[in-house]
Amino acid sequence: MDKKYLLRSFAKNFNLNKLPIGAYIVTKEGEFIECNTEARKILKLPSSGEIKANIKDFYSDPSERDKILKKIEDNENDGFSPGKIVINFNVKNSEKRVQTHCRFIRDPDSNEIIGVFGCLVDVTWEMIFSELFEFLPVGVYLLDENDKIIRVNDAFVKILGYKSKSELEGENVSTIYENPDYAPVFRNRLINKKAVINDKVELKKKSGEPIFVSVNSYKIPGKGQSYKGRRGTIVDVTAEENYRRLLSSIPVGTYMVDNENKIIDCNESFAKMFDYDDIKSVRGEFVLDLYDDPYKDYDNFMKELKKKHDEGANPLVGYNLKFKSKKGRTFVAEVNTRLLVDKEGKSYGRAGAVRDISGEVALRDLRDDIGKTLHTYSSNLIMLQHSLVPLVEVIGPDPFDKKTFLEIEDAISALDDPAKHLEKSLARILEISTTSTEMFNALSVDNWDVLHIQRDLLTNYEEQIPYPEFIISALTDSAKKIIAVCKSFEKGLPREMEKDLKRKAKELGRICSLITYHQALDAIQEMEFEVRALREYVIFRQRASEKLEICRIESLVSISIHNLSGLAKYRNVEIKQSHKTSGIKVKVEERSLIRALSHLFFNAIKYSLRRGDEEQRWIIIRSYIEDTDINNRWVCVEVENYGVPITKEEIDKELIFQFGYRGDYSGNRRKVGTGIGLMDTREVARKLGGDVVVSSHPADDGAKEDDYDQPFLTKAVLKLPVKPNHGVQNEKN
Amino acid sequence: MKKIKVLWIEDGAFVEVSKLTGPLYTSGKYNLVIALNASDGIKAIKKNEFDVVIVDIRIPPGSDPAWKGVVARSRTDKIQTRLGLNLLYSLLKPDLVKEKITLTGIPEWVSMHPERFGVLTVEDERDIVEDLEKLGLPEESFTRKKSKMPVTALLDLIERIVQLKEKSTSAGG
Repeated sequence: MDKKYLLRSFAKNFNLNKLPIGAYIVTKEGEFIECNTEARKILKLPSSGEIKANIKDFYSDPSERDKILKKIEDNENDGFSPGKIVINFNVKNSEKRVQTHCRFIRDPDSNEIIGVFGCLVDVTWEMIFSELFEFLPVGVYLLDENDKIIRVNDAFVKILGYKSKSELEGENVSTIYENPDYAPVFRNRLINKKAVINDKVELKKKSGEPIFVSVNSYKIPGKGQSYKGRRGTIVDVTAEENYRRLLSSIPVGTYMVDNENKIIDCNESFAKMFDYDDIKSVRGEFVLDLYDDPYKDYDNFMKELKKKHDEGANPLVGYNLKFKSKKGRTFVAEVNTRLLVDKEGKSYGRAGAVRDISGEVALRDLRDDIGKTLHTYSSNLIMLQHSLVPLVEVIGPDPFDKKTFLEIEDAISALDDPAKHLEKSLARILEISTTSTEMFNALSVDNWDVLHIQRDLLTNYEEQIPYPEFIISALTDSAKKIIAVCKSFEKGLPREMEKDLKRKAKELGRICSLITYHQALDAIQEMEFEVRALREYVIFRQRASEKLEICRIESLVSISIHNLSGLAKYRNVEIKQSHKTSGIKVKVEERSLIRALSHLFFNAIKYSLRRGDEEQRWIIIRSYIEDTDINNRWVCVEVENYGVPITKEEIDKELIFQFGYRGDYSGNRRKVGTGIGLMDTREVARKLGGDVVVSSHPADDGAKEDDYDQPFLTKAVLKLPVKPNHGVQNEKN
Repeated sequence: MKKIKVLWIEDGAFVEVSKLTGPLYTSGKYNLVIALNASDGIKAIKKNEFDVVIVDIRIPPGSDPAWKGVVARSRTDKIQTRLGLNLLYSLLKPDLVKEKITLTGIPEWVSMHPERFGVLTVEDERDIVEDLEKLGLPEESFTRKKSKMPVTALLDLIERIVQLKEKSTSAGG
């Protein structure tokens, strides 16, 4: 039977026009037999009449039809329905995506395939949107009424760090919330509203890492506006959110102001600084209302800002202004700001950062006050020193040299003779008292006891008092006690003996007083240096950086030594020197480096001890160039002394560089420092790219390293790097 | 007459308060031993029996890592840490000490004779009265260091402690 006849009969019986979708019948070769109205619309065929066309002509890729037919045949052979297929069609030069579902029409007798019956749906827009859904860089999602994830796109999967949609689709959306308790809260918001736009939500990636997203979500309404689910988008705003939080949390106020001086925006720190409740209440405020004296300050400020801008769009940095908060609190702030200009160079406002420096200003004022107080202390010390001089003149001839420090050993040996003479005088009286009743009755028993005790002490005080520092106070007290007893002498004691005893006691007391005077002078000398150094540190360290100047290293060392030469001489310390830095210059803050070197030299002088029978103590100051490796060269100023140990722990743990630190062994050598010197020196060195290195080892070879009851050789080295243009240069370069 | 053995734990003994020692020597009654820090103080106590021990409150730790550790943990400098108080607690009331240091080899006389201990310090009595009570130290065993204190201040304190000790001995304590 004619195949086309069979197909036309099929079409007639089937009544294609009753179908709500496009439908057609074609021969196996693709010739149209019949097409319903809907299919004619999709394929832009004439609305009625015979169709002289072949369906193959509509395929964008004609070979695709053969593949589809093969697939249908295979499916039918396997007993499966062929399924829906989306095909690219070209309809009058316009691309269309059509979804088709086809079945073969067979000859009822031979079962031969004679034609194809197909359904057509134009899914062009659906496909476009589907692809959009899939390829948008924005995460898109669809949830049902129970918050189950129905569908997500690739971007959603990627944003949350998953590998495939299947890991998410079917899961409850709360599993991707950083705080799952928030999921129902968000859902409830949508139940009440139609949409939530641009909301920041914290989700969690597959790895557990938190992520901030901006969410747009739209309710899917059910019957009577009930909640059937939601759909929406997410965009990863983690970086922006972190930045926003950082800006909010830094203790610096940021702001933007328009040309009418209205505040457009600011961060939380700004709002807090000016005593506003929140950022919202700052927006729209007039910035000049925040100036303490706008008439005085604003014009100057704007002049400076414009000047900086004209110099090359530079910001104005470090400008101090006095402000007044909303609550009337005044404070000083450092303003860093820049003009905002558009493409044409026209200004539309300014933006910047403001930092409350009231504390710093107060600190600076305090520092200046402390500096003045220390200056007063310095003056007082000098006055004290001068006041002691007439006192000494009253005490009588001074056997000690005022120009040098009195060593404790020298002080004690100066007491030998007066102590001996007193003891002899006392001994004579005590002897006679045992043989003469009249003499014995000249004093009470208690007073005789006192005299006996003093005689005993005077005979061998160096044995009885193992600590040299206590001998002076003991002998002073002894002399006082003897003089007091002398006042109690009744008749019976030969006048000359009494006078002699008193005279000898007074002489011992006088020598002790002179020793105390010299010790006081010594303490004043040291205090004066410490107070001056402290004043330098407090005032000059904190000031804005001094100008860097090129100086000869030798000259800096020389000035530092000169500053301390008086003290060194007084303390009988010889300063030995060895320099191998001729011609080497450094670019430094001169005053700071001199101060740094002076600290090192002062410590060396102060903590030095006499070595054996040597009369003088000594320190050695050396300067040299050191190459640590091929790339690192240093100019070094080193000071070495023989004296008080510094323990390994104090060096290894850098305790000696801590503010106010006093060395473990500095005290029992009767020398106490302020604990500023090394800290300051290192700060100065490091500011110049260098450092300070300290080492301390027993002076005697073979002695135990951790036996600190012996003198040590201590070296402190200030090193500065030799780098081109860094600061240290050879004069010859 | 046997001299009374006194241990004075005081870091300023050779500098700031050396004058206080004169009257001790001229009295002829005392043998004085100095320790400049907590470590040396404990060493001296382990080595000798003392009739009187005078402790300064603000003392440095010395070389013993255990005392240095207390300073490090307190995050203040070694003079602010009041190690002298810690030392007294460690010796007399170890259960009450906050920063525990386990002291070993402490002789029996220490726990048997707490009345031998006294405090000479810059602290105001009001600031440490509670600690003195907890340590069982009476008012007489405390003297405050002041700029105008008499040169006999240390001697007076020692003599008061000796009297307390004699009272305690005669009472059978």
